[in-house]
Amino acid sequence: MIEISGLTKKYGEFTAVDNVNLSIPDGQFTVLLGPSGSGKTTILRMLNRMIIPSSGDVRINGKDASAEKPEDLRRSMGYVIQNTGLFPNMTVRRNVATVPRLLGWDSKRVRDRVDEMLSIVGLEPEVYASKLPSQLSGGEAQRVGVARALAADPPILLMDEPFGAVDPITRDRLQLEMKRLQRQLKKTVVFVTHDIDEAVLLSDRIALLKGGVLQQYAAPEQLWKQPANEFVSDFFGESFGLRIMVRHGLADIDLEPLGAGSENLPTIALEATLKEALAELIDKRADRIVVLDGDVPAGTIEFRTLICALGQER
Amino acid sequence: MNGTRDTRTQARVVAVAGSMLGAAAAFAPSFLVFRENRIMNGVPQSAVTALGAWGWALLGVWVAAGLLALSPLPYRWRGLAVGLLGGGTAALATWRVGVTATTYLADKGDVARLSLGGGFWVMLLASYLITFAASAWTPPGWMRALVSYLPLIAIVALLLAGSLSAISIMREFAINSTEFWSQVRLQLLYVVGATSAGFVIGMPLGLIAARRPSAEPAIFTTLNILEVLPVLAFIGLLNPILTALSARSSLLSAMGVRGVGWAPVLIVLTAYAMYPIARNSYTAIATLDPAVLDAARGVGMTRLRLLFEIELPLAAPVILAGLRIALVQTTAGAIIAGLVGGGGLGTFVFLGAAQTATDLILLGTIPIVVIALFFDRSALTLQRLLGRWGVTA
Repeated sequence: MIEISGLTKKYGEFTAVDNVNLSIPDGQFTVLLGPSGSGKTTILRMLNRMIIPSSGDVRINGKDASAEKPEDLRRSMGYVIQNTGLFPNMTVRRNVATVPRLLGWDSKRVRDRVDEMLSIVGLEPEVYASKLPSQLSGGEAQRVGVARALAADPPILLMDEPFGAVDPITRDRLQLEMKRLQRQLKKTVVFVTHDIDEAVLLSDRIALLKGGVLQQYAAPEQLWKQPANEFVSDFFGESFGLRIMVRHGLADIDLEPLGAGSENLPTIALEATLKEALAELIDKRADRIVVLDGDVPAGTIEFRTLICALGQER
Repeated sequence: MNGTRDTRTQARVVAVAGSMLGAAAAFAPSFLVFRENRIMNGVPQSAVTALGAWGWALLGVWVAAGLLALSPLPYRWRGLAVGLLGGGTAALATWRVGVTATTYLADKGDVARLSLGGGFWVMLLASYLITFAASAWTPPGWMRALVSYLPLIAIVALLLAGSLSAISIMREFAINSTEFWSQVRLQLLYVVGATSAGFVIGMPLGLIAARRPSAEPAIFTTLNILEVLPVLAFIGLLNPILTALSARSSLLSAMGVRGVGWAPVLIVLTAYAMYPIARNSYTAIATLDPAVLDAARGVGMTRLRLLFEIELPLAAPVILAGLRIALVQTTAGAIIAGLVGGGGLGTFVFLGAAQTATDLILLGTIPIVVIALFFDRSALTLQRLLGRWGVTA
């Protein structure tokens, strides 16, 4: 549980973060979203005291973060930044081992943990452990960055635009893997980005900021249905509903029984998102699609049901 | 491969220039200088006059080397042939000069002097150019090593065999040999002492400047002023201070600290050595990738760990480059000790200058060049190794 109350950062006359209050439950993926200069990175960096707040406080599991030694605080939080910040003079193994070594783990345990972490982020230890950061692609380097952040199994993970500097295809893949990783590890993640789709895909809740002021802190569905102000609705724009469809799968909604003539309809897998189903309907110019559970048709879904699904849900 | 081809083509120009220079050197009016004794005016002679038939032979070899360089022989064989011819002539000429000197001294007595003239040194330069070009043509390995080092080994062998001992500079060496080695030792002490002290003071100053931008102007203004202060003015300024200190402290005076001698020289050389080391340390640390430092702090490294595990390993090659500059600069700078009673190889240089004895000047200068090259090469090697050492598995 991270509780942020009255958090403020001033640089002379300029207020970068203005009286922000946020309560982040354990295991929640929170995205700090906003245009540049909205103070999102500043908030993130105040969590691990890379930036000292002007006023207000951060409490982690009830303990005041400023009461702890900054180094100890930081070792209890994973930290991933945009340009990876991998240590160029160290191999991948040594990079990932950084925090366990700082915590004084014995070498066998460190070794096993590094192998485990590399596998978790999808890099084979035998291939990657002895490489240098300069020998990695942007996507691989960022995976190593995530492995390093998670190596000591910290309950909290801070990520500052981690996928901002990789190419779009790699970014999409990394986002999906991040989602899978989060389902598996259930960390308390605070994630900074200015990319709406990224925020919508990954977040449990989004904290939307503007000029250092928190505008709204809610799940994307609620931001869509009940925007707190005009800035919120303008920021997410006209197609917000369409964007949110990636968060929901066909498995979440009730299917209609297979009717006559359904053998001529287009098909889609049960694992697909609503957005993919919609795209398929548009693509095939159909108004109904058969949902396949494996190879077996599980039911059909109609265009109308699909577009109403978001509104009715929960 | 294009780059290699370009280098090879360019090397041909160098080789031809070298062979022409070598041929010209054979005709240079002052290849050797004959003196009946040390203080008499010398009689210069060209190689073809002084060495007779051997001189013409040398000329022939130079021309042959030039023609071979232009020939369509495959590069590796061309490099081997041209390199051995060009390097070989230098060794050959040196040997013949040694023989000529022996004959001359046998004729005129031990006080006579046969000195190496400008033409001889130009010939050595020509030989170096050819060797350089030839080593670019030969593939790395035994061929290149042979081309690069055989002439040098031949000349050293001649030196050790005593074939050159009648040449004037070797006579000077023989006369001064005890003093020579003690001055070499003193020179090395100055270099190592001043550079170490410069490192111990300069590197932390550079680190502080990088860490605290507010301190940077003060540090580098001071070091700059010290660096541009002319050496004699610097020693002159230190003179009254050191004299006064020595008068007041019996310990200092017992250590031999005086207004002249080793103390001011060591201080001045240290001050000069500080600048390149501090400057490189500063640049190395100040230009580190901020993302790397941010990540290191963000994962919870302490200041000290950050310094020793990240900053210094990454900065080491650049800092060492500064140390290398300081070493080479101090090796040459320590000559000044000879002028202010501090000893070292400068003693021969200034004595030779006072007596207009060129060979004595060379007796001081040549070892300085050799020492400087040695430091430069070994620091460069260390720098390369360090680049790899910085990597932690």
